[in-house]
Amino acid sequence: MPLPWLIGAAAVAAVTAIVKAVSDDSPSSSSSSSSSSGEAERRKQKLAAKREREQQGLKDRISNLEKDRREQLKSQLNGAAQTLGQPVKAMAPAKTATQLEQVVASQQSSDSAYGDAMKIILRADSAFSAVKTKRFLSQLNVLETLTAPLAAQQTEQQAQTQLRESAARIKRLQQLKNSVEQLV
Amino acid sequence: MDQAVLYIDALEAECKRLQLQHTETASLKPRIAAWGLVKAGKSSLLNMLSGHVHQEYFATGAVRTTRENQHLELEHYVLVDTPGLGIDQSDSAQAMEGLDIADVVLFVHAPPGELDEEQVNLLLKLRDVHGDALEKRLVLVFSLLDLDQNDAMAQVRERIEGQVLRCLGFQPTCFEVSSRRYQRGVELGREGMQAKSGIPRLALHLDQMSKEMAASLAATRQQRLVQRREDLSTALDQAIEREQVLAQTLCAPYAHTAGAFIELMSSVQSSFSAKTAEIRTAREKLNSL
Repeated sequence: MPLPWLIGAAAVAAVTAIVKAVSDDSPSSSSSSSSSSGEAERRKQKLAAKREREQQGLKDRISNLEKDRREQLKSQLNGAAQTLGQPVKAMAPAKTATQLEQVVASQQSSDSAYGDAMKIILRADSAFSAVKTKRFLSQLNVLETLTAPLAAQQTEQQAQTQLRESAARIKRLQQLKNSVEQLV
Repeated sequence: MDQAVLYIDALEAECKRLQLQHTETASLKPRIAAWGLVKAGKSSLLNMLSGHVHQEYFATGAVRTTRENQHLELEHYVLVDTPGLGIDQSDSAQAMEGLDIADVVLFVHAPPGELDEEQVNLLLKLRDVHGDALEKRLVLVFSLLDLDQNDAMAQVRERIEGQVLRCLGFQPTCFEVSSRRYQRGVELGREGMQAKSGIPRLALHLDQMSKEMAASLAATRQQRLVQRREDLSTALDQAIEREQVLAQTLCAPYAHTAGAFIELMSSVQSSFSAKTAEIRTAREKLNSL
């Protein structure tokens, strides 16, 4: 075959190959683009599912923590109530988590019969500071708000009466002391 | 009534007596108080000493007659008759008041018995009131000498003097008297009988004592008032302290309970706060998702 023919045939073959290659490539490129968008969607869905799982996990954790906190509070309150020698009362179940937090952080003093009796007794004790008395009464109020107000027992009432009488005697003695000091 | 209240009542009574004596403007004559148990012959003795032989000034009788302190001012001194001690509480309070104001105490005892426990306690009380000055202010009088039989009085007197010496640490001047014999002597005009009654000798001794103490009387009384005020003040301080200790003892178990409760509740609040912080962190994380 003459050379020009050979060159021509080679050129045609090359062009044909290129065209074929191009035509072969064409359908392959369109398939790659559609696969990428699906992946993104899958990733998005995966992320959403992951977030949902995380959210659910956190919600569960919060719920468990709240439940734990409530149970722990209940059991510790029982112990504290026993220290007072008072009959243990169940913690009111109706309180929400926020209400519980507000009650536990409350600084309000108890005004129950037991609280009033203890206030008189503790104030008569010079070794028991006013700050501690205030703290006791506010913590007692926490207990009572979460359970029920406590009643003064007979022993506290007796102590209260004895202290009132003793205070009256001290007052009388101090008045006598004042009148003696005025004698010059 | 409560012992504590009774004690405060006694302190209050002493306080009132002291206030009264602080403001009084009595004559500056020594006050001679007859002091002793019921029916010791105090009023009869004072009647004789004051010359009320026929018509008594201080009431006497078979039953207890003196319920309140009675005063009679004489030329050199003032006689004070006090209710007999040992029977009635208000009588005893009056007698104590008589003792407080007395410059001289005639401790009248009627033998044949020796001093009983109550009389010994009264002597101790006298020592508390007058302190070291008591030696110069106490006159021991054995009354009812006319009842002396077979010279038993001498032995009784010896034993009583021994009791007083052991109790007070000194021997006071002692006189044996018989008011009845003196009265009879006056009625019969028999000076020997009067002298034998022991009354003139006692009267003379009291005159002498009064003259001796006249100069320092005001200062001595003032000193005694100051001492009593200090004693009362100390007694009041001690009573207040006792009450405070009692209150503290009453409060102690409750304070202990309150302390334990505070500790437990603090732990409750602390663990609740820790859990709350965990919950808050979880909520914040949840909100940030």
